[in-house]
Order: sequence, then C-alpha cells, then structure tokens
Amino acid sequence: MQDMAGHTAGDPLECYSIPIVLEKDADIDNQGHAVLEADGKQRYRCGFRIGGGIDQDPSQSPQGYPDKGIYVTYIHENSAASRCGLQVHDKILQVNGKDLTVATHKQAVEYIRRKPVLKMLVYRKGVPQLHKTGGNPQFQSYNQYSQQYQQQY
Amino acid sequence: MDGGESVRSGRSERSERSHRSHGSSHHPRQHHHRGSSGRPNSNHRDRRERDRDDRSVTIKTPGQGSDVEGEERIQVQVIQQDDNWGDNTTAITGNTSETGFSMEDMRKFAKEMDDNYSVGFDCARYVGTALAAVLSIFGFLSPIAMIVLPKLGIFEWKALAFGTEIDPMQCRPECEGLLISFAFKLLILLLGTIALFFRQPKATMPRVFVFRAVVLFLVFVLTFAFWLFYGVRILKARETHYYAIVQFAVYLVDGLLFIHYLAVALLEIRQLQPQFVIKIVRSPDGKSQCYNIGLLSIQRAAVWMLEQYYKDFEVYNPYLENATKKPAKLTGFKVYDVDGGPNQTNQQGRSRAVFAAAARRRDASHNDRFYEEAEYERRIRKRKARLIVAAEEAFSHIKRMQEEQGPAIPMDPQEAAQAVFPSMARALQKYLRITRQQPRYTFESVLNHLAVCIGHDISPRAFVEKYLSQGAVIMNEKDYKSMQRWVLVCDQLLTREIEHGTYFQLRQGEVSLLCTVRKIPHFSLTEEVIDPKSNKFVLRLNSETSV
Repeated sequence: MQDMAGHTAGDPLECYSIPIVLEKDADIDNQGHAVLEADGKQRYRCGFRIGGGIDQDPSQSPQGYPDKGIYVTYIHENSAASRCGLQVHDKILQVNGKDLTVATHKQAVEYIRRKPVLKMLVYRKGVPQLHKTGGNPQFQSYNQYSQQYQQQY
Repeated sequence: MDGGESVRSGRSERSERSHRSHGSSHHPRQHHHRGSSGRPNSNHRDRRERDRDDRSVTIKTPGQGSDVEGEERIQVQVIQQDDNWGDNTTAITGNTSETGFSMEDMRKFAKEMDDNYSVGFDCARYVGTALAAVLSIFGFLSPIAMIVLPKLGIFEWKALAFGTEIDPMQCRPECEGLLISFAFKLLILLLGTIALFFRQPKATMPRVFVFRAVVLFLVFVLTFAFWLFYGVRILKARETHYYAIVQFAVYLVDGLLFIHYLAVALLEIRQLQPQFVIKIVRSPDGKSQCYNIGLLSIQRAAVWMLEQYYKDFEVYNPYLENATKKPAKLTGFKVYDVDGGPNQTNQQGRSRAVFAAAARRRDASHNDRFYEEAEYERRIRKRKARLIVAAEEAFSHIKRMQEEQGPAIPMDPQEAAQAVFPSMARALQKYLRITRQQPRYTFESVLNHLAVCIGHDISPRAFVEKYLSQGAVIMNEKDYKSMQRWVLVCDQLLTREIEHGTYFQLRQGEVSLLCTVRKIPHFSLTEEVIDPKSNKFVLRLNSETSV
C-alpha cells in the first residue's frame, strides 16, 4: 500500500500510468433497439462504475481509497471496459486530456460520458513492476511545501 | 314632470346657475323657464334678447356676429305657466329616463308587494303539514277504535252469543298478552313519530314533497284497507272472538310501524350519506363554498344549501362595492350649462368626445384599482389596531367588585357599559364607518352587547370580534326575520333528484346564489403490501455512478 499514498488534488504529480483506449459499446435494449439519450443521440455504455471525486469523502468509501481521485469500483462482464483492460480499483488520472484528479464526481461522469472513445491514463498499483529498493517510486506527488523537484521516471 | 326624480325648489335665483344636470334630456320647457323667470340672468344671456312682456324668447345662433343678415332666429313662445311652483333643479340620480321609475323606486315597490303577499301565502306553508298530521292521527287512532268499538256495545254483539258459558268477548290470557303488546307498540309508534316528525316545517317548497306524499299515501291505503276488512269481516259477519279482533288491530299497528320505518329511511336516513358536492357562488361579490350532500331532490337540496348559506357566508354588504373606489374625478367633464342655448350642438359633440376619453381612462385604471384596494386594506388594518387598543384600554377600567379592595361604587353591567363606552366609541365608530357597517349597529345595540360582555367577563378582543368582520348571515340582527323568502330557479323539474351537472339558482333581492352539483367519483382503492423482507435498505455512503 505504500505506493498508494494519497495525493492531494491540485498538487503536481508524477506517476507511472497505463494508457488505455476504451471504445464504448452502443447501448441496445432487449428488443435490439438502440437506447437513445434525451436529445436523441445514441447512448454508449462503457461498462464500469466509478467512485470518488474531490467533492466526496474518501474516508467513507467502502473500498478504502486513500484520496479523492476517481476510481473504478466495478467492471461489468463482457463489456467494453473488460475488453480494453481496465481493472477494478484503477485510478483514472486523465480522460481525453481532462485531468480527473481535480474533478468532482459529476464532472468526471460528464467527461467520461461525452465521447464515444476514451483515451485514458490509469494508475494501477504495482504496474509496471519496479525495483522496490533504490528505484524510483511509481507514484510521486509533490506537495506545495516540498522543495524536491527531482525528475524521476 | 320627471318621474319623481327632480327636486322642486322654491323660486330662487340660485336655481339659475348651472347645475350638474343629467344626460342630454333637456326639455325645451326648461329653456322657457330659464328664459322667462329670474332677473339676474343677464350676465349669462348676453346674446339673447328677451321680451318679457309677451313671454317669447329669441335665441340667436352664435359666432357670426350680431348683425349679419340671414342669421337664424328661433322664435320660441312661452306658454303661460303657473310660476308659483318655481323651477326644477335636477339632481344626479340613477335614473336616465325622464319618464320611468328609478331602480330604487322599483325596489321599494317590490318590497312592499312581497310583504303584502305574506298574509296570503302563509296558508300554503301549513297545508302540507296539516294534511300529514290529519292522516297520521287517523292512522294512529284506527287500531284503538278497532278494539274499542266492539266493547262499546253499539252493534249489539252480545245478543248473538253462541249459548256457551264463556263469553267470547271477554278477554282471556292470550288476548291480554296481545293487548299489552298492542299498547306498547302503539306507544313506540307514537314516541317515534313525535320524536322525528313533530316539528315546525323548516321550509315551504314549491312542489310536492314526494317522499312524504308517498308515505302518507301508504298510511292512508293501509288504514283504509284495514277498515274495509274490518267492516266486512268483523262488523258484518259479527266476529265474536275478541282475540281475533285484537289480533287484527295488532296487525294494523305492525303495518303502521313498518311504514314508520320506511318513512324514517326515506325522509331522514337516505340523504345522510354524501354523494354529491354542491358549490355555491354568491353573485354580487363572488364568495363561494363547497358542501357535501346526499341524494335529494332539487328543492330539498336547495333548502339544505340555504341552511348552510346562512351559517357560513358573510353578510352581503352592498356598500362595500364602492368602498375601495374613489369618487370619480369629474374634472375632465365639461360641466353642462343648461342655458347653453346656441352652443347646444357643439357641446353635444364635444361631450361625446369627453365621455369617450373618460371611459378610456377608466379602462386603463386596473392598476389604480390594485393600489386602491391595497390602500383600503391598510387603512382597515390601522383602524382595527386602534379599535382593539381602545377596547383593551376601556376594559381595563372595569374590575369586578369582589376584587376591588377600597371604597367603590357598585354598578350593574349596563351602567358599567355606559361608563366605559365613551372611551372607545370614536375608534369603534371609525372602524364601522370604514367597513361600511355603521347602518347595522345602533348605539343601544352596541351598549347592550358591551353590557353582556362585561357581565360575563368577556375579554375585550372577544367583545370587538363581533364588529371586526361582516359576520354570518344568520347572526345579522338588523335583517333577521323568522321567515325568509327565496326564489328557486331551475330548468328541470324540482322534484327530480340532483344529478351530476345540475344547476339551480336561489335569489333574494340583490343576492343570488348559483349552485352547481358534482357527483363524488367512485373511489377504487387497491392494496399494496409492503413485504418486510424486501423492505430493506443499504447505506450509500459513497456515491458510485455507472458509466
């Protein structure tokens, strides 16, 4: 868990992250008709559930997330999310260029729902495998008062 | 002469000045009078020449100068009149016609006619009840007559004894038992009828009261049939067993008791369950209310509505209509100069334009109305506050004699009221004036009410409550009469039952109540069971969203 140290939203962050491209499925109901949004556009489903946000309280989260980032809490089977390699408890750092570490829950949902293809950067604990000793940590956040400014990869 | 409208004044010089006269219905005669009487008209009538000796007036048309040839000269001959009764001054009234009656006069006449009719129609009020009473007494006394007649010995029963030793006319045990039950049944019938039906009829209805007529008809038929059988079987055939006669009478009483049951069910109980809702809207001021009602005929429903109306509605105060309206500003009006003479036609043209402008101004004043009403409400509230304060202060001067320790002059409530009233008289009068209630309460009535309140330890606010609102119609002492006439208007037969969508109207004088009937819908209730096992909840501490 030491790599899952909490990150305060807004602080600069350096992190090894996994790029994932998710192509959403078109939502189809039982009869095979397309499910439409309120404005008539086709609805797409990604197939996972997210939790968290800077307006949520992480101490209340049943999964025990340490910070206020957006986390994947559940992945439906046979969904676009499972096909693209997303896993539960992944922290989503970026979606299509939008920074989700400083997003509220609603904003994160909105960004995710907006486009049919998501290019995400995801932080997963333990990936990539790094040497624990002397190596660079997978996840390094710089809080405001820290003077360290080391470029680490 | 105008239709009783004009105020006759003595021959005065002031009458020559222009008055606000009404409409353009000027008599040519008035010109004559104006022209012929009164000397100080010269300043008004510069352009007129008058020859007073032969009483003729020459009227010149204006504007073209006095010496132009061909000017019109209207020669007007004044007929010799008796000048002693002087000039007429016309005042503004509600009458626009010079020959007709005004509406106030009509209303006065109508009221007198109504009062005159009251003597004649009072008989109608009691005819139905009298008939019902006669029939029920007839029905009640018949069984008694049936068992008493044989015993009276009128019909020489005993002469036909069969020669047995036992006198069959004597009453034996089973007969006695029957007699006792007969007596009790009659007593119960009597008590039941007295309890339910012996009362002042609360309304005289225009058409026959169908259910009561049905019940009375049944009573009559039953009694008549029984008497028929009695006459044929018992009197003619000389039935000697007294037991049989008593039993016959008991059957009659049973029949009457069942008819009584039917009467109770039809007349009293049937309308208790609410099936309709009637909404009353009062016409001049628009107040409305809804009531529940059962299944009734239209006329009975109207009676019921009137009972509720007297209790629930406020008194209609006709002066309140104009309470918020400020007096119409007539400054824009051209004041009519009755002696206008040559300018007559021009003035008429101008006045029409002035009327139209004033009408347009009135139409655009809905905003004014809003502000006037708000202003009126404020004034009422201000005076109400002053009245309550004055009343509380006045009541604080009074104390019960037992509570007072020092030397005191004992007064009874009337005197106490008179002593205390002057301090709040002015506030009360101002409040009554602004709510237009002052014709309703006299000085004595207020004092009496105050004496009653003082004598019963009523608080000042409760004393003042009587005057704060217009009050229920029935509580209005000034107009309270023990008989009230209303006119029922309906396009359906009045003895039909009310249905969904029935309209009827009740009218009395200015007040008109429009009643609309709606059926209460049939309510279809379904049950939904909450299964305790599926009634479980989880706490959602952190919101998740599915994308």
